[in-house]
Amino acid sequence: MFQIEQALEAWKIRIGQSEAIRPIDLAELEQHVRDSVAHLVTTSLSDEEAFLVAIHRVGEPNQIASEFKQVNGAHIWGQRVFWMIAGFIFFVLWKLVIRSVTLSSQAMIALVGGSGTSMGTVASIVSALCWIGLAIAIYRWAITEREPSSLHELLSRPRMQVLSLVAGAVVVLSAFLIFAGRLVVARYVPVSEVGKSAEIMALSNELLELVAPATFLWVMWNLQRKFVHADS
Amino acid sequence: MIPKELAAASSRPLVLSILARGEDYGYSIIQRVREASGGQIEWSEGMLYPVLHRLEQEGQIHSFWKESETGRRRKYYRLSTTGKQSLTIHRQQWLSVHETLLNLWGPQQCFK
Repeated sequence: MFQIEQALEAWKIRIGQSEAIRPIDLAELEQHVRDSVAHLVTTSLSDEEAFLVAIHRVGEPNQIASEFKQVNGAHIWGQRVFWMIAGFIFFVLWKLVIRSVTLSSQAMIALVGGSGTSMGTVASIVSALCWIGLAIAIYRWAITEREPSSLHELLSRPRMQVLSLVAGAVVVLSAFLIFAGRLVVARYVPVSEVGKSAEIMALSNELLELVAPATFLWVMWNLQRKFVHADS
Repeated sequence: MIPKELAAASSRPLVLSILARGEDYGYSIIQRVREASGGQIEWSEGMLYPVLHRLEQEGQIHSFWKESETGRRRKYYRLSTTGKQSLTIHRQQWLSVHETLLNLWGPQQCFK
């Protein structure tokens, strides 16, 4: 049995995939199809036939998208800049998370009476694991097949309140962990051991900063090959 | 049937002319064009909206959402003062194209 609401949803997903079409444009096009179907069913067409004629008359998704692209340029760039800034914020937050995790691991080693060398080594390993984990997570997230609607919804309706709340929670939690970690280290570890630990961490950080861009380039390289060249 | 290019070229004066008669929404505008042209002008309907949005960006028309009789919200458009002036210019231009063709074809062709 033909379900017009489901068919409309599926059509909206196809049309809405283009970044040129804003949610408000989609609402207008949807109402157009509804008006068209309502009119066509009065001419002895079935719901399904009316729907097919209506979407055919609206036009091919690619063709509509290219027409909209000419008027919605600012919107497209707004979305792109939004995601660039979102990426930057995510990166800053991620660095905070890593600092809080490495400092907590140092503090824990310190509490069980570990040496400066073991503190530095463990913190370096934890930090490296976090970065590797991020690279893998980005790659897996990007290659996972998902409903185009969910991604489009995310793109078109960024839930700013939720995002801000999460960002705020990360900052507060990280700040707490970092200060607590520093206090524990300062209180339980002799200065010479802290120095050793810091020396090891500094070395590993230098190494990470050299390796990290290469790792992320590798991830991007693979994604590019998979998505851009596969299409052309 | 009017070819696509000519339909696209005449889309602006057509939209402005229809809105000059009063506020209207996308689907209805297309229906009116179809009726007025005796079915000769068939748009790829999706292309009307970018045209409407461009006219709105240029200040020739204004848009507003209004609840329809079915309770759903529809986007209506109405002509602005700039749009009225623009329509006058379009009218002069199209009439002069029309007159030129009539002059070239001569009266006998017109009455055929």
